[in-house]
Amino acid sequence: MRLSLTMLYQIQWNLGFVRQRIGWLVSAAIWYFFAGWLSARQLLQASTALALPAPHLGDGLFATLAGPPLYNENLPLLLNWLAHIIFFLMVVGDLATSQCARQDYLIVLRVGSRRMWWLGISLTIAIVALLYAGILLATTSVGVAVQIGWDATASAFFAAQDVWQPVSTSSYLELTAILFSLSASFLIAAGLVQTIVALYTRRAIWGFLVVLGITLSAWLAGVGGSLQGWQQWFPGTQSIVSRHYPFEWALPDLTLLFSLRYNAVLVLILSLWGLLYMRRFDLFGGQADE
Amino acid sequence: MNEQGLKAGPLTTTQPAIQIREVSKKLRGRQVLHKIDLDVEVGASVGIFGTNGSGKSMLLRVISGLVLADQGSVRVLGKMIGRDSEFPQSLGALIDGPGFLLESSGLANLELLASIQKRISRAEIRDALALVGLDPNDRRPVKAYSTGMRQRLGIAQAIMEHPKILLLDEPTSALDPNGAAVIHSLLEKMQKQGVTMILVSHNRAELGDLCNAVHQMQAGALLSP
Repeated sequence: MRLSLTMLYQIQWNLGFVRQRIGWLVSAAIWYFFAGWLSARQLLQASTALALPAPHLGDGLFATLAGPPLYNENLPLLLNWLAHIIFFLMVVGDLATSQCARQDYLIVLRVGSRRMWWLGISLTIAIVALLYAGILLATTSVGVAVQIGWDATASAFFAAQDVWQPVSTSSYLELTAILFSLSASFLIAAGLVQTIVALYTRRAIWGFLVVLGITLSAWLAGVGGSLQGWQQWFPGTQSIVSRHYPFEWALPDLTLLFSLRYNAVLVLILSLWGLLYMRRFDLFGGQADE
Repeated sequence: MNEQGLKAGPLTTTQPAIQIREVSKKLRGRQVLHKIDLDVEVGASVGIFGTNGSGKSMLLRVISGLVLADQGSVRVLGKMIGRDSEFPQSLGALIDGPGFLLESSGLANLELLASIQKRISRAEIRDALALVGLDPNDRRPVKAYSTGMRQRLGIAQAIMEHPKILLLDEPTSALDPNGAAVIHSLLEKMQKQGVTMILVSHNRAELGDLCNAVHQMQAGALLSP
């Protein structure tokens, strides 16, 4: 009981630090409101021009957040997918070094254990990832809805174009659940990678660059054809919903379940790695000078 | 001032409160601490001064358990840091600029910190703020605090849980003479309560006024008083 209360207050303290980065969260919300609005507008224009069935809320949401499909270099799809990772890293970035490694002795000394401290950091990242993914989906949905209304039923818009056919058989809630689970689980892993690299190198920027490199590699692996067989194993692919089966028939092994398991294993490994690393971690080790 | 805020539990051990033996630490190839030996008796106040980079702040980090020594041993209240416990029990510390929650008030920051160990009441937190010259009713967020106010808040968090050991790194560096006098008076009262202290400062005269013994640090080595 005492232990869980200690953890609760530690997380509350960590969330207080994340709150100081709320500007990035607000920026992300604004970005995704307009991204949803713009996507929905394009879908409406295509629907009118090509005499297609009217798109619904789920179509707009999917078109905004599903990420870049295989062989596709469409810039808005890439940017919207990449931006949601970058904004998240900016929201949790400060937690990694400037607060945790250097100034968080106020907490560590009271918690009395480096491992508990790391566990608190990991749980905070997970909570922020879940909240962040929820906020993104909500603001994108509002942006889409402003253009095409709140119809949450499935539409035949994509099926009529012979692309992303499963979207036309999925309701808005089903699509939201898929996008949320893949995005949030990957963001937890990305946040942990960023934090661990930042703690190793004592600089948040290195953690940021490593995650960026990993995610861009996942995207590039699907742009050409040579690495397609490896696509599912690239960390970062798990957040690209459009490359998942059955949305993408060319990758039958890259299923929702596979990616959720992949992300879960990654999070477990990173958490354990952090726990081991914390055993001898110098909280002020990077600062030799007064 | 409320004397309640100064209470510290008496120590019964006959060992030194802090015992450092042959402690060395190397960072990025540079020897930042070199074979440090130091005993601080229970209730004693020891001052350490030196130039920037001499290793005085690093010594506080090692004593507090935040940085682990490569060689040697640190015992605080009889427990070896890194073996018997990760961090010393009953320790208050002000090392570098503590990272407070900038959007919350000073009182809210201290309340959240105190809730982790739940050793003290809300009244005691308010007393600690008053003791360092801060208004407990000040609802401004910490981001609106001056550097001196943040330093006072740092001292308040260090003393609020009535530690038996107090480590303070440049506790008055950002304070005006009046503010420094308030903190000096507070530290003197804590000494009378039997709190063991290590103070680090550039100002040798300040240490001379407050401490039983003053050591100099140079290139990671502790010189005799």
